[in-house]
Amino acid sequence: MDKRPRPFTAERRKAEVTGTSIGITNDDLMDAISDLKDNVNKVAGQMAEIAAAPPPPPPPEPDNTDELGTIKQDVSALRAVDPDDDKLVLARGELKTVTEITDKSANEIMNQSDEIHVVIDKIREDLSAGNTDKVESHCATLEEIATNLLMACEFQDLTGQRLNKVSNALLGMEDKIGGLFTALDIAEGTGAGGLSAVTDDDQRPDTDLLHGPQDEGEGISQADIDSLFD
Amino acid sequence: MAVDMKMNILVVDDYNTMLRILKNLLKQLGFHNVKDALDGGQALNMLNSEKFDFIISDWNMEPMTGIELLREVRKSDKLKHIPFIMITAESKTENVITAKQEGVSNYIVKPFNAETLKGKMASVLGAF
Repeated sequence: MDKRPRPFTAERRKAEVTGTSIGITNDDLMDAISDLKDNVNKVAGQMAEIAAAPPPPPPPEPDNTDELGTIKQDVSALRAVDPDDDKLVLARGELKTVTEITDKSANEIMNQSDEIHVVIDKIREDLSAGNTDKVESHCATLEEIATNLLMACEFQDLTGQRLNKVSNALLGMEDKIGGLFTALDIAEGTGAGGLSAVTDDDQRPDTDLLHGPQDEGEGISQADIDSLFD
Repeated sequence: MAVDMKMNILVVDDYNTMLRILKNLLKQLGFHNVKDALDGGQALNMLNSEKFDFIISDWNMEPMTGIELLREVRKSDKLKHIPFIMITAESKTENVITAKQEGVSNYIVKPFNAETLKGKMASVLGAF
């Protein structure tokens, strides 16, 4: 078959304008159509083969069995078999004890403070009555009170130790939760976990307003409050 | 008009420690007729059965909070004239605004001292 190059549209127009021949015959056109038909048939055959072929198998599922097992172990390790050994239960107990110790100590300190006032009144009475010989006895009482006050301050040591235990338990919990975030590939928390400073059964109507004590330098100051009352 | 140092004052707090501090501070300021209640409900009962001239209350108490006590006091024809100071650790502006809207006379944030207490009482009663 003659494979002469076929003229472009521009060449045909030029030939029409100039009256020259571009040398295309009907045979040339028939050959070109035949070539095109062969090519189309070839492509159609390839497409049919592709369509008939079975789909490729899905990629294998990642094996998370070990990872899930580790997460389960971590979660179950957070709670002790015996509730008496549960670190969170123990931490709650420690906090309750701290409250009791500080309450008891504060009352003791205030009792002793009241005693000082009583002794001072007695000293004044005795001085005005000229009973100076009794002053030494009152001084001894004041010394005793001072000792009692110092002893009442030992709560700081006792509560400090208990609060350290609570702090360590919370730190451990924080680490574990962080580990779970990593294992589960969670980028950040939503804060919607329902952790609340008030208990679920607190029915007081103003619980949304109960923020608790402010930290030093935070919250609203007395001066800010005063300006609201000006 | 001179402040009546013999006025009956009711202090309300669920912590004995704070009650004692308040009573001692008031004694230090010259007020000796001071009674106490451990929550709003107990305070309301006392207010309805005895005569009081001044109320100093904590906010965060159970079962009846200080703000509920304030509402009850302001609702009552018999009690609504009694000056009411809220002393609390509640530290948000919205708390103060809520208390003010409910008719609190003044508001003290913990921790506070005798001077602050005296100043706030004086702002309600006049200098003493």
